[in-house]
Amino acid sequence: MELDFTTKERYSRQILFPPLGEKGQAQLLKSRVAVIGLGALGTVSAGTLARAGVGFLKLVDRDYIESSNLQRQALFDEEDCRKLRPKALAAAEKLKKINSSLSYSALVEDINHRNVEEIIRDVDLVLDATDNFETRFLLNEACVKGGTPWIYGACVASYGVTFTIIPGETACLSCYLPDHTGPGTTVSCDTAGIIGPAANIVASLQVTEALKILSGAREDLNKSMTFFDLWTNNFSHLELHRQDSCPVCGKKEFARLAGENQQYSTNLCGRNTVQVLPYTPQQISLEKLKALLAPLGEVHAGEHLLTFKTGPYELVIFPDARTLVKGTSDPKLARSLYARYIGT
Amino acid sequence: MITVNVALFATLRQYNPYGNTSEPFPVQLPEGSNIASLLEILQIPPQESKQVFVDSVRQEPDYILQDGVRVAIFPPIAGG
Repeated sequence: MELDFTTKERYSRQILFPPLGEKGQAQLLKSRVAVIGLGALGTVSAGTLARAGVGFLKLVDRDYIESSNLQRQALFDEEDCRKLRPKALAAAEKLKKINSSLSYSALVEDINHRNVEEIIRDVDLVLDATDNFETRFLLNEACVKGGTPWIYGACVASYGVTFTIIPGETACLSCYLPDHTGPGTTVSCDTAGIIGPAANIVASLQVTEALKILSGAREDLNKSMTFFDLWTNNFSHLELHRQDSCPVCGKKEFARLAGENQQYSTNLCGRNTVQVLPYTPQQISLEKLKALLAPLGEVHAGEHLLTFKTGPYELVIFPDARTLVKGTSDPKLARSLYARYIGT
Repeated sequence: MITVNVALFATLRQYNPYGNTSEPFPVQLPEGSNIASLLEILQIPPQESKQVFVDSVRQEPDYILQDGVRVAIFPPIAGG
């Protein structure tokens, strides 16, 4: 594909980099990537991929912007926070300003066994920017099953880790971690804190690997897991080998995709918040719900969500009936509040 | 006795007897020792979340260590 003058000019500094060149740039322009999670990792990754000219970005996040995000989540500002904007929509809006020549798809959704395969079906690569292992295990199964490369990335405090997973070639996430790494067994940014640079480095390492995969330079991929601590100036690499006994890439057992581990009420570690999902997919009218809830407590309508305060609890309700119940870490109590105010 | 080379990462570095670093260090163990006994010698509490890799492959606590292997111990990191 011959690039026109304007395109060549825009990406000229990247085209000058010999491993990419004009051919690599043309590959990037026709590439499709899903960024799963738009927190610190996802906003840095998506911004860098958009500037690099990756043709299509699918942006997926279930959350909305809060003031504690602004310290490190690159695409958001105070106005997004005031307007309670969902992260995926706010990110897409900013990215269009950064690079209007690309295509974007923004999904304000929780990733689960019902939608994960459809979400990654039309992309060449998945960038992990999630904040929990349950979603990562699900992504791992979907990517291994579909043969889609994905790049694990995570950070906390001043630490970070990345690992590039090419199904059928490298170890997968389940080779690295046993299945019982559930909520509450790991440290997260909400419990141990995070400095912005740790997230920026992880995202930069992930995007570099993404550029190699998308431009066809697979021989240059990092075959080791990279682990660093910025505060103590330590970078380490550990070669990971596939486990023959791995249930996912070895035995091709996809328990999570079958919905075996699906939880409809999930404690979001460290946030004193429980996410409640409807048992069946549905869409609700936030306008109607606002009218119903107004006599019962304080209701505030954001652009794409509704907040409802009752006693010590706050419910953040999305149009797909998914609800974040703030003020508790007890899934049963959250489910009961959900049943009382939203329905079963 | 056998000698294994151990590297501890992130929050687990505090159990390195030679200082708060991820540099590998030697540990001597009786022949036939498994990962669980290594973790005990290092005084890493059972409740600490961790994955143990022996020569790049994840192994369970009952895995018997051989002389000269490289052991890397990580906590799982979830944040993003």
